Amino acid sequence: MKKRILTCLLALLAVLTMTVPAWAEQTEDDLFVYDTVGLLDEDEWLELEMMADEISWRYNCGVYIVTVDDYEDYNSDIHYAAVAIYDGNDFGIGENREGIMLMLSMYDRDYDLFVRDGGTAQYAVNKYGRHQMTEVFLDNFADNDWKGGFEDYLSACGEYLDRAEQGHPVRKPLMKVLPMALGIGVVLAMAVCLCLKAKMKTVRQGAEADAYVTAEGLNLTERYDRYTHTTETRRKISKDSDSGSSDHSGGGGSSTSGKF
Amino acid sequence: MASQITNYKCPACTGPLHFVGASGMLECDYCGAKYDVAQIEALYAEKEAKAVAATEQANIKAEENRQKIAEMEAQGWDTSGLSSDWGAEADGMKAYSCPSCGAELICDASTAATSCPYCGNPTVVPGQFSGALKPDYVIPFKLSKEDAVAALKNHYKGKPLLPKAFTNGNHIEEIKGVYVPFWMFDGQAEGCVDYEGLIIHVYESGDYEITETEHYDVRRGGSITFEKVPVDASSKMPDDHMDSIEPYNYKDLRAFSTAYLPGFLADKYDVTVEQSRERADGRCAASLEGALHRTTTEYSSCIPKSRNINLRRGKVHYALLPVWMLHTKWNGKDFLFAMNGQTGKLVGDLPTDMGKFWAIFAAIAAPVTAIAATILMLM
Repeated sequence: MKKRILTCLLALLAVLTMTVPAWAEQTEDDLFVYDTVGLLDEDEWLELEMMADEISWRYNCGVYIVTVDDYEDYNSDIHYAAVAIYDGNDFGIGENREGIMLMLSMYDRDYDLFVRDGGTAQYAVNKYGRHQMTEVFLDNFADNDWKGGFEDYLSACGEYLDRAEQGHPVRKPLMKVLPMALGIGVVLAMAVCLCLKAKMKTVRQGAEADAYVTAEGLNLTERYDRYTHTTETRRKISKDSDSGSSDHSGGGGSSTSGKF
Repeated sequence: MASQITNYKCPACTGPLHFVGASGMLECDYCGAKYDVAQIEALYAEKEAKAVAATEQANIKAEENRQKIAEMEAQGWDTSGLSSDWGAEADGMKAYSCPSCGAELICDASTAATSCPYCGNPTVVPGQFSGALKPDYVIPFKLSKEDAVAALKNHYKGKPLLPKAFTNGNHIEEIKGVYVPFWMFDGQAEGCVDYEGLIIHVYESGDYEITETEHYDVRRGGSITFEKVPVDASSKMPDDHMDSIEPYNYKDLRAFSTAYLPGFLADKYDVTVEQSRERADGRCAASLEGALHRTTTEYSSCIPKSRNINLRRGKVHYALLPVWMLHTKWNGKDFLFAMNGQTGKLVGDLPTDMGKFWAIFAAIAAPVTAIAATILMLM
């Protein structure tokens, strides 16, 4: 019964997404777990809702769980489908509508981890954080362990928000970024230095005589173009991580999506 | 036997005249009088003819002397002490007597204008530019020695890798304003080039990036006419320096007159047309290839497969073009700079301070690495 009410609520709010331009703020009575597909039983739902409620109000950043049949009901792009649900349901706490949302779309087993831009949520869970967080729950979902996955997600949210509050948000370790950063620094510095060194040499043998061409210029007498054949090469597009996830941003948030 | 040379003297005070680029006139250092080139040319035409005749006469006499010595040797006289042979170093040298002070000037056989090392008067050797050796054109100097020094100082600016000691301790050893002999080639390059043309489309399909390459047989043919492609005709001048100060503005080309020479050095050519032609041919062929390649913009890339370029050679002109040569020495190494005496374009390779190179490298690499690391960590 409760699920049916939730489904109706979510559907109603999703419709409002297209029509209501101003957002209301999340209140103490509003929910954080919207299991419209029915993956959880009532006890599981209640337990997760309480957990999400506790984390959200402790850090003033809503942590949401949404399950839908097919994200394409909201938008053909999974990221914008998440944006539509987040905005359409007035998700988020505070003026900046801080929040993190995990959406599961069951039709093709897609997930989207959405983080609201420009505040605590983004500071606590950046792109690297999103990728780290997905690794925590994807294995559960692969085994259809919905409650376990959601629990892991909520725990991770709590941990990330706690670290951010203490001023030590989850960030890529220095040793992981150093080789690439060093490469960028060395290549850029060498390019500048070689440019400066090239300026020291101004004497070169003349290779062409363009300056002495008469005003008529080139008299093109022969022009022949014949198509012979076409070749094709295919390269598999490498995803951002081994799990085949991809990153998106726009609509006031950033997300990482993929399959589970 | 010293030959005759000409000093251009001021008709008013007999002081030496110099051609001044800024005014385009011959000016007297002493009384400040200025004369048109045509005016002095008319005045000195007769004197130059006499000087040429005197030079020829001197050459005949020198030849007679040599014959006399040969005859004396044939009669059994010991003429070893009378030898006028100065050895290999004197080959290709000529002696002239300065009309102002009478001093004997020893110059290269190709020297056409110089100045007397004793009295400093500018002198012209008219015989070098007479008859078939007369240049068709001259571009008079527009820029002065002071302009050349200023251009060199400017050349040092904006080069952070230049050793500081080079700028501070480096002194210009020599500045010479030289009319450099050039052959100017007219001609036409015609031919065709075969390419493999590629049009590349890249698109994504599912999980794949697909690169589709259309291949074409492409041929472009045509011709280009060139006018006065310059090739320096002096073996003393480095070819790459002379190429690098191009182009000259041919609007200033004047019919040749020796009246433009006083105050500058000038050489007659010592590299023949045949020796120079190959360089002009190569440049013209490269220009045609470049122009044909620029007509293939519809392709992502065009790889030349074969080319067939022929050159139709036209008229060859002989011209003297103005060049300021500046020579400096630093750390025992010679540095040569050349400046286009008409446009002011100055070239010359400079030394690199490798200490500064690595310091700048570190100064850029360190903060960029730090910034990049921070950005990557925040992402």
